[in-house]
Amino acid sequence: MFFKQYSSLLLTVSLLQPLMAIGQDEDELASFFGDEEFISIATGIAQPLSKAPAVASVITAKEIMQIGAMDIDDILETVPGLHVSRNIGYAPIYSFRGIHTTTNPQVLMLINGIPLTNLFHGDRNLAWGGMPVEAISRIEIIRGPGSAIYGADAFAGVINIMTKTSPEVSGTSVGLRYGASNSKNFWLQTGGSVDGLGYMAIIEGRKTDGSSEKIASDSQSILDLLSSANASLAPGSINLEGEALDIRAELTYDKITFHAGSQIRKNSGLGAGIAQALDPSGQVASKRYNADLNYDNYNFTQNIGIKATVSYLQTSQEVDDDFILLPPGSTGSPFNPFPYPDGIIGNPEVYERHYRGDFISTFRGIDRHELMAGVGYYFGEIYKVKEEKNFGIDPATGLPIFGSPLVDVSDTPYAFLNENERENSHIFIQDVWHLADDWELTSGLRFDHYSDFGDTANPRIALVWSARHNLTVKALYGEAFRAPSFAETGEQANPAFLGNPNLEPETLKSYELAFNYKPTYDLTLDLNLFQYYWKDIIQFTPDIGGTRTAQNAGEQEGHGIELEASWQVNDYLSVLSNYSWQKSEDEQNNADAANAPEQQFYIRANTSLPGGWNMTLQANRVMGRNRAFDDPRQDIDDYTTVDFTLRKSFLTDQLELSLITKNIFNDDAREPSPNGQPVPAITNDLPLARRRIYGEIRYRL
Amino acid sequence: MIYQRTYSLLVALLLLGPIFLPCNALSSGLLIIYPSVKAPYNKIYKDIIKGIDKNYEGITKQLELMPDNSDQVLTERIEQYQPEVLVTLGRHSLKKVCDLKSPIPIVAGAITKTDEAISGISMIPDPEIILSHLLTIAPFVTRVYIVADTDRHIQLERADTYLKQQGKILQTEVVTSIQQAADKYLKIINSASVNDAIWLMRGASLNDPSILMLVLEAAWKKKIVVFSSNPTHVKRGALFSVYPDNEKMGGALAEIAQQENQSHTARNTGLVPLRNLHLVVNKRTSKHLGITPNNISGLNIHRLL
Repeated sequence: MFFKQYSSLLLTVSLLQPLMAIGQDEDELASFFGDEEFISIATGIAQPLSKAPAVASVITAKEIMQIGAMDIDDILETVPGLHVSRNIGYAPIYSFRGIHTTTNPQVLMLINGIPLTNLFHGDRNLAWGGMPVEAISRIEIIRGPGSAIYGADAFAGVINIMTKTSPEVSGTSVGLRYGASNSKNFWLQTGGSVDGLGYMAIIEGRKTDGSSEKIASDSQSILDLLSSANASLAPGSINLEGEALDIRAELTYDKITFHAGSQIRKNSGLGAGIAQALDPSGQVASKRYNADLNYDNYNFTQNIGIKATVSYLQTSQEVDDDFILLPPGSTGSPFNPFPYPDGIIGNPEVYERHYRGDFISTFRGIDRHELMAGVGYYFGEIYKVKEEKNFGIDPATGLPIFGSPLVDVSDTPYAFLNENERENSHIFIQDVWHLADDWELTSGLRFDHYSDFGDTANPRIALVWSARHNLTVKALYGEAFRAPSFAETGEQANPAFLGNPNLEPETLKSYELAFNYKPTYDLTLDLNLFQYYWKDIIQFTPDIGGTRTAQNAGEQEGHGIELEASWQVNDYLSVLSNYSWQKSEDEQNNADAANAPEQQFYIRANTSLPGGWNMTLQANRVMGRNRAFDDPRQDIDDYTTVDFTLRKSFLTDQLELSLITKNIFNDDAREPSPNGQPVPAITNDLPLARRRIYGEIRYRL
Repeated sequence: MIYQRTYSLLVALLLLGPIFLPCNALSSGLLIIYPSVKAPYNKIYKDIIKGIDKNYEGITKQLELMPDNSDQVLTERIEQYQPEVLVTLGRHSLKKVCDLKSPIPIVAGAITKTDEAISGISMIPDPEIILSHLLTIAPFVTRVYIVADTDRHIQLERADTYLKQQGKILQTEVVTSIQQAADKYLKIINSASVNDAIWLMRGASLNDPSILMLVLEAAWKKKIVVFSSNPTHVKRGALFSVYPDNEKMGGALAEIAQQENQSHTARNTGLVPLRNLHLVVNKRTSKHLGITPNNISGLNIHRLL
């Protein structure tokens, strides 16, 4: 016994010595390269952060690991001024600074600079199905408009996801995660270089039964009250099951980079149901493929840099299992006495293609100026629309369809949408003028021509003042536009919502004042003040005949502040916190703007201990979400979620085991369900998942 | 006849001889020995090795020393490969190899100093390169101040010689404590003008963040150029710094190894300062000083922070 104890002590001491010697090597390297962060930049593993004159947050792969993020939404929720809400299908609504709509087309999401925007709803696809995080190198989030650079939809905010590069992946590794709701995740990644050709590939798979939180009442509950049916499945569980496969690949050679990716979603549940009536069996699918080829040469000549990109994106929204809009036994209307035995079924499918070409040049030949100019062309089309349904009018007979069988109404005026296309060309110019030693003025203008709704020009101006060695002040003005989606311009044969081909783009004007202060090397403080005017908001407004048609009707003004602090307490502990406050007014109705939180508070503490231990505790509080002016419900409750992540690495980081817990105090967090007339269909809002626990293993081969 | 047969057998044996040698033996090859370190540090060694591989005219093999490897692993591998030259990266590998007392010449890289009789490249940047960057970026500088620890005389001499050649002045203050360093920096800042520059040389005194903050804050107010041997200082407001170009450093190590190999005996020329360096510039500070990056012509700025 004594020998056993003694021998383990001896073993520890003898192992410690070489470990310490190697630790000295690391310290010595660090002293010549600076800190670990700089080593990553210097060796090309990480890219330096871009210093665009905007209010931006950057979240790196390291932080993504620390917080135990499993989906991009876990990361985005930590950003001040941004709240990730949910629509009835539980697709994310990225609610920036009070700009909150159901389909959320006011946010531009990019992967490696290429937009993911779909033409149908202007969002990221109805069957979004989340986005896993292993392939993400960093995410840059710009709050406020960016149309002067990015064009359409860089409106309330821009989310630019940069995927990992070959040096960043370097080698082969695998990972597995299992946890709550029978969620299984795996990933496999490999990267390296051969004769100057860098390669990287990441495959991520996921299968989950999804959160099975219950809702108390749905739209069929109201119909049941108004008719004599008893068809509603409420109270019942939402359906968030699904399977996903994501692939990201990159090839680089000299100044050329090629990316390819796919996001496959299948057997995905419809959340609280397409028509706000529980649908436990309906399943949506989506196939998305993208590829882009880039040539980037900053030193094309001594003073000229060029960047050229061509890209392709193909997306689909498909039906895996019939969408049951209203459950079996529903009559579909209080005035119809005949129930539909299979329920009311509508299976809309949309297929899109997007082509882009961009050319950007920088010019550094004029003293105190950095000029950038670019041209670009876009062609996008909904090339196929399919719909089957068991209600409405049968195009073959002109008579009403009653229940079964399903009738294919594709390519007829009775389908929900027509195939359609859009062309857009743009030109932009930007000048960074170093007007005095500590003053820099960035001015830019982008002109866009659209084949369907005409022209728009969007400027931005940013004045940056290096007030002190540790204080920078930025004053920003920007304008933005949001292109109407094809659903908004062309929706048809829908009993409730109709498109309007005469829509104009939504517009936004925004003023910001941002302070960045570093009182010590370990503490950074940021304060942002903003005000925006959002006009020509596209809303479905009531018609005389009971339908609603898309109109440029709404108007909203908002202002607020965001405070951020990032503190490296010592070598082991760091703390990050932010607080956001916004007040937005629905000008049309002289009421508080609905659904977006007026206040958010976030705090995270990370401790990294010797021996490969890493712990992160984070708390997120969402406060002050108002109801719409005509919503009879009380304001939705505030909520707080607390998450804890514990990681331990072994064998020089070759093996890592983790425990990830989400919402550890089991808070009843809810996102607002849509308002409705005469009453909201889902009265008690959309419940989010309660406490979840996951175990994870990573192994580097 | 018998004689003829014996002769042809001999010729055959001579021709086949190499086949009977240990199968992995390196003819005029080198063995790179480096420690297993965690990411991202391992990328530094990998890049150096890449540079060696590219530039060494002969076979190269690698041995990654794991923390739990016994000395026997190293001995066995050297016996197996029979290299002409050993290249060690880092202090740990060098110590392990020196302990073997092997007659094979050693070329050391990725270390700062050693008492061993070897050839190699130090990680300490060549003052000449740093100062030539300074004079390109800020040609108006006429005097450079250094507050240095006592053991920096070799670098200081090299810096002094170079500046004299350029018609500039080096003013050195040697200190033995942080308090002394703080006093000297205060004195320098009070008397410095826009034609002066302060070089934050690696040393114990700069491990104190309050001194760094004091220097950078005062220098910002008086528009004095501050440059540093530590790239992290650039993020904190120093005008520029340098850091090793790992692949090129590997190339230079390969060149030394080649010379060792050709001379057949260990030349033990000692460590030469590192000349393969990348430049990193703080854009905000350079603009504050009226130096726009467009003006820094002829320099390949590797990173702008």
